[in-house]
Amino acid sequence: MVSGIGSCDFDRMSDINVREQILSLPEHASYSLDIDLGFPVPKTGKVCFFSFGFNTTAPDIVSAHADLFSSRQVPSYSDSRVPGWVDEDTVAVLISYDGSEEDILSVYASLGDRGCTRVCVTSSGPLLEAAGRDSVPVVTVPAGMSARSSTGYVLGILCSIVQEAGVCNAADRLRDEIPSVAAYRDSMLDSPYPRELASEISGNVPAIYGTTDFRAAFRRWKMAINEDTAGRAFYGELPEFDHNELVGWFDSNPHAPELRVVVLKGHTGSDLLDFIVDNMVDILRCEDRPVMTVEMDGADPLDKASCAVILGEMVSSALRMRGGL
Amino acid sequence: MALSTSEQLHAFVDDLGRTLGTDVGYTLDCRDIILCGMGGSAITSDVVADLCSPVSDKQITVVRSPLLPSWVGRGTLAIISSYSGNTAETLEMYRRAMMKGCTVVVLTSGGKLLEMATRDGAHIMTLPEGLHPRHSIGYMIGYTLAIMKAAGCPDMSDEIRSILPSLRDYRGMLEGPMSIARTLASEYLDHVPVICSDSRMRSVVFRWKTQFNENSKYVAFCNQLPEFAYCGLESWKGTDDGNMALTVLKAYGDDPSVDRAIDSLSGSGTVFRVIDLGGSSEMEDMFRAIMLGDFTSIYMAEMRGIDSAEVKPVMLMKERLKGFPQ
Repeated sequence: MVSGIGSCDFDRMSDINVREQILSLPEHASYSLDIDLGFPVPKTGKVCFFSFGFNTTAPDIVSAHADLFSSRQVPSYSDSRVPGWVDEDTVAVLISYDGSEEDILSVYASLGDRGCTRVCVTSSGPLLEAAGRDSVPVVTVPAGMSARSSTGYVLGILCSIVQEAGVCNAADRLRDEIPSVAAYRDSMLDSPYPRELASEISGNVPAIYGTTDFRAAFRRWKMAINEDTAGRAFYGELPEFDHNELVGWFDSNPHAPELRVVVLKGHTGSDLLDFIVDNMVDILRCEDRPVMTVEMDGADPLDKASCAVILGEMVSSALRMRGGL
Repeated sequence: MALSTSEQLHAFVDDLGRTLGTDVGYTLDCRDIILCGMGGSAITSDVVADLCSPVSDKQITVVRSPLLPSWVGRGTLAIISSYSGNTAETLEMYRRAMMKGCTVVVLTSGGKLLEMATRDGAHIMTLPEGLHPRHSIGYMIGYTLAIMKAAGCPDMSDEIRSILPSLRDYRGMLEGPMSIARTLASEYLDHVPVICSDSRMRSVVFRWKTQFNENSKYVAFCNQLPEFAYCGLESWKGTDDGNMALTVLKAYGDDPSVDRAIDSLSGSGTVFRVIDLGGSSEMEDMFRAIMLGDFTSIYMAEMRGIDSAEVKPVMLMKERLKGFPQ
């Protein structure tokens, strides 16, 4: 059972450069929302995702969306071990663009031992072969891309799967929000903002922070900067930061002057949380610790985090053009 | 009389032993479990989640935000932990959990949380007063595991009890003059510690990071494998950075990705340190690692001549939060 995007699309995609592929996230998502999954998704009680590296962005976005809008959780794991609760009543979706990581193959086998319903989202490789051998449903994404540039395709597919599973209306929501993500992307293409942010980061080691609804985005910023600049980057979560990390950053740490705090900010739906984030930034600035804040609009991670992912890619690309960190 | 920091650190193993197997006196029926807290209280939740998730048939999620997920509801057991009982985010989590109809158990030493839980008739586990929140984790781990057991999670008390003698021996080594914790502390001075381990010990490396933050007043970071192998590892290869100190914790039963990462870094000439925790089980290594990180961070503070207990910016934030309308 293989469904997905045909070879004509592959031919088209291979002619587009990688950066354009990455920034085509809204168009890719729109396209993949229309794919017929080709198999019935069980209306089971439990759904979860497994992925590694750049494959994690789309599942993290959908998981964060489910946290806000679903009566069922959809955890996103980057781990080679399967949690104890995963059983025959679970739909486990494995996302691996090239289907070749040892860890995803190990998880695939473990999930089979648990007797759960497996679904693979991939383009090729041993995962595709194993799924074919085991008659496990596969949704393919176009070959000739990379895990990093396939985020949009995977996002649409995962939203369709969770909607089919009866978890939440993620596919409908994504379809509604794609125009605003595309508009944001277009506005940034014409804006000096990404280059200005890159200029501020340049020469520093960024640590990117955000509230949990931004988790896909701050992780993606780190990965993109790692890959584009061969430099280091880190990430962390707010408001947990205020209970420990704030103390470290409050100290001058003169041995590490290159460290730079980057905060992805947006309305969280909690006045308390917004108050805490604003005050955390203010406290650091009062101690002369430079903090770079990046304001994002939107309330739903499908929109807000997708836009932050696109911006992060533009910033990382600008850093690469500058010759790295 | 309040215990000193070193006395509290010393007491960790005994606190844990004292609370293991506590009979909470009730059973809890639930579909899933959320462990709610911030800072040192949330670290306890992380440790318990790491211990229980592989073997529990219930979904266990650590929540560190005043906004509870929308899927939290009547079938959810919410374990709300705040040592002081006055953490703003945790109080909000408590309110929301009650509103959503969760079964709520509160773990605290006092404060508004104790008042509200008493008023509402919620289950309460009372912690002893006079400890520093981040050094109360011996009690908090033991009690949280007892609550988890009441909710149908496997009982781990016998297994943990069996390693307590070994942990006491290890504590003796860490407190001695030739302690590896003292060596590490001196190595980390004027560096940014970056700690990495198997994802099974994600709670432990996060604990290291936060202990460096709070006790040593240092910025620090952590990573976990296999994820680190996909993003970040390449940026370390072949480097001998002046101000960042990468350490990989090697433990019993590690995922193969840990050895692969070590081989990959070694083969590229990277300067980094591997610490073999040397315990006889996964669980023993987990607790050894917690102790090693705690002692190292305190020794760093001593070497820097600073007060490990003082957390001025956290107090500053608490002051500002008093201005937030409740």
